[in-house]
This record gives sequence, C-alpha cells and structure tokens, in this order.
Amino acid sequence: MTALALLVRWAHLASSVVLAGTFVLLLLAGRAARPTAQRWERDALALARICVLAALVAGLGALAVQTALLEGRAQAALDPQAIGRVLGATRFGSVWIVRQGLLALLAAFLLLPVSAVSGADHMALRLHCALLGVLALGVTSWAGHAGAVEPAPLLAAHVDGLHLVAVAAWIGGLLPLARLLGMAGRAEGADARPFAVLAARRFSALALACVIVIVATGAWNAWNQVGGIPALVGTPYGRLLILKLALLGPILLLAAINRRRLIPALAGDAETVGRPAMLRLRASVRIEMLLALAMLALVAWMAVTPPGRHVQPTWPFAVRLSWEATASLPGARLRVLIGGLLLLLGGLAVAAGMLGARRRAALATAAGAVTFAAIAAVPPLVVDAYPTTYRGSSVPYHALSIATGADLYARACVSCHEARAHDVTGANVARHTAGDLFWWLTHGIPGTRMPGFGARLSEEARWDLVNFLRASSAAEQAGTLGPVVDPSRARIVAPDFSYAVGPSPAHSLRELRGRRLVLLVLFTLPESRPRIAQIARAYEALVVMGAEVIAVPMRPTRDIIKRLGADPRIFFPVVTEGAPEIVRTYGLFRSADGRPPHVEFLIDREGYLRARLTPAPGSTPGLSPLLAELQRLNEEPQTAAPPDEHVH
Amino acid sequence: MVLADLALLIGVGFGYLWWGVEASRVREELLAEKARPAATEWTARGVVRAVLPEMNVLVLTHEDIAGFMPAMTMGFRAESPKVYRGIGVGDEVRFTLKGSGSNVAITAIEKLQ
Amino acid sequence: MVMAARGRPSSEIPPRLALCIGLLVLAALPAGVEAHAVLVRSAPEARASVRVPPRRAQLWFSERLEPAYSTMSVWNDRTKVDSGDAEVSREDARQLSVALPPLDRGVYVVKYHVLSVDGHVAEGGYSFTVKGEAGRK
Repeated sequence: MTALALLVRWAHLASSVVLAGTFVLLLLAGRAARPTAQRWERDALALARICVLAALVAGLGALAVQTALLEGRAQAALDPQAIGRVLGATRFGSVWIVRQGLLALLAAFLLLPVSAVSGADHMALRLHCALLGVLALGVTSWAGHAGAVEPAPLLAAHVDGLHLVAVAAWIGGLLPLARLLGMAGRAEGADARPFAVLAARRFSALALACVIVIVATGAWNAWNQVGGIPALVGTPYGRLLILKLALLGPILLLAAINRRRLIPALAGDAETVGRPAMLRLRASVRIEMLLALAMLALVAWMAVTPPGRHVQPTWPFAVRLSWEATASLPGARLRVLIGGLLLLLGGLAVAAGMLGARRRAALATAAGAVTFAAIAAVPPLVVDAYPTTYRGSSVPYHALSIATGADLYARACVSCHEARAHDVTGANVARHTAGDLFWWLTHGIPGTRMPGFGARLSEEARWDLVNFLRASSAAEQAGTLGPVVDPSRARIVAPDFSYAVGPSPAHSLRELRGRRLVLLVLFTLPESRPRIAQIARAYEALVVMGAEVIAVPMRPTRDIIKRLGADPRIFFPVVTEGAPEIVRTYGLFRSADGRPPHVEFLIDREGYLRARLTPAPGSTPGLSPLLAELQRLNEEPQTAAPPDEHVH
Repeated sequence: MVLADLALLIGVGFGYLWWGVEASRVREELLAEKARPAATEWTARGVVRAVLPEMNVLVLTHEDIAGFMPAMTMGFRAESPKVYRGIGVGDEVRFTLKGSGSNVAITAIEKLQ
Repeated sequence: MVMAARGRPSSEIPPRLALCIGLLVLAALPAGVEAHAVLVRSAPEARASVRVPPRRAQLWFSERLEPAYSTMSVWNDRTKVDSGDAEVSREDARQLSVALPPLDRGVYVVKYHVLSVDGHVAEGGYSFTVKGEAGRK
C-alpha cells in the first residue's frame, strides 16, 4: 500500500512538473519558424499530451489510494459512495477537484489544432497552457504539509506553492530542452541551432532565477517542517531532506557548468559552430534531469512522512556541542571565543580570496584558520549525547506528572540520593537535556552505581521522574526569586496544572496563557484569612490590571469555600479540585525552610514564574507593591518565547 | 482565444456575483435565526459564591450552560427570595434558569448531595 | 560528465547509473508513515482523577482536522459510553469533542482517530478516572 501510494504520488508530481515546465520552455523558446524546430515543437506538445494524461490518471490513482486509506479498506478504492465522501468532505477532495479540472481544461486546449491558430493566439495558447499547468501544480501545496502549518497555513501554502512552481519551471523544462539540443545537435538539424541556442540561453537565465527562489522558499519550508538540527539528522523526514539536498548538490553543479562553460561555448554564427558543445550540453542536461526525477521521488516520500518537527528525534551521534557545558570549565569560554574569532577570520579570508587574484594563498590561509579554530573551539563544547538527548517529554510538564514523579522519587531514588534531590539536580539537570536524564534513568550511568530503570518503570513513570527533577532544578533556581520582577533574570517555566471550582469543569493554567497574568495564592486557614480578604476586596482592581487570582488551599477540604465565609465576597477561583498536586508542585518553589506556609507566585502571560511573594503571617502589607509588579509586567514587551507547546 | 477568455471572465464574474448574493442571504437567515426570542429552560451545576439578598441576586461559579453561556462566575437574578432559602456560600447546587436573551432568572435551586 | 558526451552522446550508462543510485537510496530508507496531527492538550487531562464527572471530553490537536473523518469515543471497560456525536469545533478546527452522559465512578478510556487537513491519519488514546460523588443523582 505504501509503495503504491509512493508510486502514485511520484507519477503525479513528475508528470505535473514536466507538463508545466514544457509549456514554460515553449513560451521561452518562442514560435518556431524552421522545420526542425517545428518538429521539436510537435514533439514537445506530444510530450505535454502524455504528461497531462499521466497526471490525470495518476490523479485518479491518488484518489483511489486516499479513499482506501481513509476508509481503512482496500475495496473502498472502487466504491463510488466512499470516493464521493472523500471528494466532498475533505480538503484533499476539494484540491483534487480543482486540480483535475485545471488539467482537464489544459487537455482540452491541447486538443485544439495548433497549426490553425494565428500568431498572437499561438502564444496566448501557450501562455494559457503554462498558467493552467503551473496552477494545477501549485494548488497541491494546499492539501499537503504546508497547508497544515499553524498558525499561518495560507502563507506556508503559498510559499510551498511558489517552491513547486519554481521547481517545475526549472526541472520540468529539462526534458524538452535535452530533446531540442539533441535535434539541433544533429547534422540534419542545423537549421534549428539559432533557435536552440536562444532557448537554452533564456532557459538558463530563468533557471538561475528559479534556483534563487527554490533555495529561499526551500529554506523557509525546511524551517517550518523540520525546525532544527536534531530533527534534521534524527528523524526520517529530516534524513530524507538531507538526501534531497545531497541530490541537489550535483544538480546545481551541473547547472553551474552549463551556465558558465557550455552555454557560452554555443556562441558563433556558423551553423557548424557549437555542435559539440550543444551535444555536451544535452548530455549534461539529461543527467541533471535524471537526478531531478530521483529527487522528486524523495519529495513524494517526504509528503507521506510526518514532518520532523512533529516527531521525536533519535540523535545519531555519541556527542553534541553545548555552550552551557563550558560554564563549569575554567577558561573554556575564552577558548571557544578565540576559536570563533579565528573562524570568522577564515571566513573573511575565503571572501577575500574569491574577490582577489591570489585565490590559492587565500584559500590556504582560510583552511589553516578554520582548522585552528576547530582545534581551539570544539573540544570544550563537546559533551556526551545519547539517542534520546533531543527527545521532548512525552508527558507534559504538569503538576500531575511532577507530583507522581515526586512519589516515585521518594520510593525508588531516595535510598541512594538525597531527599530533596539536591545532589541530582544541582550539578546535572540544568546542564543536560530532559532526554539525557531519560536515557540515564532508562539505561543507568556506566561506571557509577546508578542503575537503569528501563525494565522496572514504565516510560510514563520515567518521564514523570524527569519532570520532577526538572521542577526541582527550576525550584533551586527560584531560590533567590523575590517579590520584585527582575526582567534580566533567566525565565523559570511555571509548571502547568488543572483546577476546578465545585462542579464546574476543570481549567488549566495554560488556558490563561497569552490572556491573563496569574497570581497563584497558596494559603492556609486561618493564618491567611486577612490576606485573602485583602485580595478579595481588591479583586476588581486586579482584574482591571489584567490579572486572574487562583487560590489554592494547602490543606484541601471540600468545604473550603464555605470555610472562607461569605464576607468579604470572594469571586476568584478557589480550587476544590486538583489542589494536592498544585501544592505538591509549587511547594517545591517555596523557600528552602518552607516558612511561612502562605506563598504567592506571579506568573506572566507567557507562562513563566516571575516573582514570589511571602507576606509575613499576621501582617497584611498593602496591595500597592503587588499592583506595581502587575503594571511592570503589563508594560514589559513580550520577549521570551512561550514554553514548548508540544505533548508528543 | 480572446473570445474564450472573455467568456471565461464573464462566467467567473457571474459566479462571483451569485456567490455574493447567496452568501448574504445565508447570513441574513442565520441572523434571523439567532434573533428569534424564545423562553427556554436550562439546568446546570455550580457552586454558590455570594448571596446578595438586597438585589435578589446569586453569584455562581457554574459549568457550561449548553446553548446559553460557557462556564464562568456570574450573577443571576432569582425569581423570588424563596428560591434560595437555605442556600449559603460554598454550597454545591443544581439550578434551573428560565427566560430568553438577557432576561433570565433562577426558578429553582437545590443542594447537591 | 562533460567529457562523456563527445560525439554521439552515450545516454545508456549515466541515466541508468543515476536511476540505480536513486533506487538504492530509496530502498535504504526506513518507511515511517505515522501520525501527523499531534495531540497537544485534552480535557479531562490524561491520567487525571476527577471528582465531578465531565460533561464533555475535549481534545486539541496541532493541526486542523477534517470533520468527516475525525472521530473520538469514550470507553468504560469495553462499553462505549459517549453520546456518539463527536464533532470538530466550528470555531477552531483543531478541537474535537464529544458529549458524555453522567458518568459513574470508574476508569474511562478516550480513543481518537483523526484526519488532519494534510491528508494523514493519526490515532491514539489515554485514560482518566472519575472518583465519583457520594449520593450523586
């Protein structure tokens, strides 16, 4: 099934690309006057007819395959009702109808007797066919990965469509161009040589423009769909992209040779001049074309592979480079900086060499500088890495998970590690990825007493432990967090939690992200009563300042709202569901001695912990310091990116 | 060729006009649908946050009221003071709302459990 | 490659070679056809233990869904308990939800099978627990 789907996609893509490219080349070449050129024109139109037929048939095949896939049974591919449902109710169907319609129209144009139409209409016909071909290809991007990019699918689809169109204009024209060069390169085709030379020159200019568009849009697409080095080298999609780029390299090399050596060699007035060059160019174009067809197969494969951004990468190397790792080594950062400077100098030398006359000397200097840079800078940056190093947690960074992890830690880890996880977190957690911790928890650390828990704890439980360790480490960082927002401080992610008031449905902290500042109040009764009353009276002002208050009892009881009483009136959420996990998690973020029990956290709109307020018991300081901090957060431009969204 | 283009253009133009007319008709129908008043009854659960007898209002943190409003903390007028006799802050309740548009009132309320 | 084309260009060898390389490259790759739309958030949350039974189960995905081929169900020990009217939200096509009748205490499993707009199917599930209310009607 997969093989069939791939084949259909490839046929679909390749025929569409060649179709659009053929008409673009026909447009570029202009009207043929001599017999050989006219013969080529007829051949090109025949090729276009084959391609449009192939594209229509492959379209039918793609529809059948998609229907079978969606209905979950192979017979559905021939069931008219199922096909109708796919056509009528999915984006794939809408795009399919538009595309097949455009292709059918193009096919109708191709059936027109070409010789019968006059000069201006002749070119208009070509233009129509080219536009239809390009549109039929471009619309497919709306039904692909690009059309699903959030939050701006329309933009992504347009960029991807442009990418496809540029590919078609360049790659798609190679096949008919090779044919033209072949025909004109023969002794009997000499009359078509000026025509062929002109077509090749114009094509070459267009190809250069296309390459620029392809590289720019391709880089943008890659950022959208892959998003980073780990996903590039660690996911099937990323590896396919590397292969695709590896194929693109030789194609570009050939294109450059064509442009800089072979096409200038075509110059000359006599009909015999340029013939060997023409045949050489044809051979080069053919190889280019075959490589391009192989590349289109990779593209078809990528279209059925989940984009790297949505997949957990498997890091293939035993080491990685990490700037954070240099923090603990004295002098390491200096080495790295010197190395970086050398690298920069090397780059400058390369640039100078390209421009200046003494290329070899400049390149040798550059090579030396780069080598020294590598020797100086790389070793301190290298740290051990594992296959899971860049995996994100499959369990969200949530109070539920952290509380579960805390229990697991108390059961499984405390016998060797300290109760508050200091010896684990202090040195390690901040400087390693969650994936590193997961690997050690699963496989142990060779050469130490740390055993692997892969057989004893479920994957979920191991991620719970990782989340607990991350929270503990973050809590250590929060040790110095005070009542005043410090914009220069490293951001601490506020663990997500869910809460409910009475029988209403549960909400989560994350729902407030981007909308409200949050004052999270952990309180005890009766000690916190004056402070709660103060916040309750000022609630209106706090709401106007863009804040929501969430009050969490540290000793949860079901009648906590009743116990808080009717006066003053409290309208902010007082949590009756989910409080134990919140207290467990945010309890980590209290000062080390846990005194006083009442503590308040200020969480900004991006979901980071920004201040910790500990009003002394009994005393009730005015609310103006709190309001000042809220105002400070309101005036702050959004600088930090919100914490990772994905729950893989 | 030029004639064909002209025909195509006219066709697309008519299609666009028709679509515009159709879309505005559908929108009007939808608006009419929404504006139609009807006295409806809803039942939902919530927790009492405040009782304001001087205004005859109960403030409730309630769940989704299907077809009326999403979950929130909100004040509702009671049909009569009798409705909330014996109800206090912190009680989890099931309540019935009756009315249309913004004119709704609590007609019944009972403690859960 | 430029040299090879002198005289009659021998098109037999390089194209085949290129094709073989292409096919080899393709064959060497693992086929990984799996989920494209990723579950980002859910209510009730996975593994949550709630006192008040939820009226709806809601899922949020990373990509927009096709309503016709996206469905979800809630199960209690092999019995389907949801109302069967799972629907993609009209305001946010990334959200799928289903209404639930009053649930008794117990463990419930949410399963989903969705099609994202890029034409790929994703499946998955998770469980939550209703702790139950004493004397609930």
